[in-house]
Amino acid sequence: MNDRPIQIEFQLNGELRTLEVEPRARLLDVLRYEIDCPGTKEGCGEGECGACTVLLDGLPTNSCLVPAWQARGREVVTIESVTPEDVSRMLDAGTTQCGACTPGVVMTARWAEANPELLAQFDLRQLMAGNLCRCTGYDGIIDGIELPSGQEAD
Amino acid sequence: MVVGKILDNACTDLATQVGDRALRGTALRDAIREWHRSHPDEELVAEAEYERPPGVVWDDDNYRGAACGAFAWAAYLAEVEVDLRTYSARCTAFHSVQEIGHVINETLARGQIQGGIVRGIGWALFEECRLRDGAMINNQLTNYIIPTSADVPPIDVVFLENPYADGALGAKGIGELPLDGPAPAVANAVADALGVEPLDIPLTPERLMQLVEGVGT
Repeated sequence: MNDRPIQIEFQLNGELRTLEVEPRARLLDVLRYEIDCPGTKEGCGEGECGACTVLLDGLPTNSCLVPAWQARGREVVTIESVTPEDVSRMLDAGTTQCGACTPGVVMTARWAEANPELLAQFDLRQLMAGNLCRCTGYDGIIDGIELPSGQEAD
Repeated sequence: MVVGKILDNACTDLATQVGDRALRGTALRDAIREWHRSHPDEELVAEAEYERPPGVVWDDDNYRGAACGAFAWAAYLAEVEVDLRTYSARCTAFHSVQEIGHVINETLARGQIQGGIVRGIGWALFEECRLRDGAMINNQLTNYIIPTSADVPPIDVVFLENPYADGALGAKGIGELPLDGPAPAVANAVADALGVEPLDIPLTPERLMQLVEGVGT
């Protein structure tokens, strides 16, 4: 197997990054350990729980399932881009308990908030179904998401 | 609730040593700093241990009496739908009433109750530990199914305030409370819907088909 590092360039939270990655390195590990972005968490490591969700070209993506080189030429947005003001509604709603799912939940919620047209086809509970949470029972998560005015979560 | 009260008592002991048993927060911090300045090289130690509230009597030799000073109470009501072609059951509404003494932080208490209830709904409908030679063989999220946000309804929680005099700030414990009742409530709702008497959970489609059609039993 060819194990030579691959040079890639991609946008990370609005900043152009250039680095070399191992061919089999996961995007999750490159973010956490090669770049100073440890906010993205590993949950199951098999694409089921959504804890490692980042936005890849605007879409919520399990970074544990993406080889880092596939980010080449693309845009990656992680929890590090989010400010406390962005999540103030979540802080009040009880969106977080143990916190393991929170970075992923926040990123999927940012995607839902940025694409309100999705709500014509799906409800928030369907849009958030890719992020497992064992603490909140999901009401705290759904209540923490900022919907366009006039829309009701449940 | 017991540990919270012990911490509170130890804190009172600490505050008493530095001047005033009522001190808390930044005033207590400042008083502790002042104490250290006036007592160089000394250690400030406070201790408290559990004291059984008066009237709570436990006989450890005969295992009789009251092991706990007070219990939290709850009631649960589940509404379910069962698809009669696939035998898949779904919880469509859930209501609960909780009496946990004084509610110290309503957002966190509500979240704790809602999270426990959703875990109970999962236990009732799809969470099944499969064991082989003493070990769980479906120990991955690909084969041990837990509820997603799309699998459960909003969880309605009503608190009845009933402060418990011997609990920290009037609270009772709520850690395990919300996990006990929801699965029986969901199972009873399924029993009511189908006219069957389930004795095992989770009520997977396979189990419900066996109960209704009597096959494979």
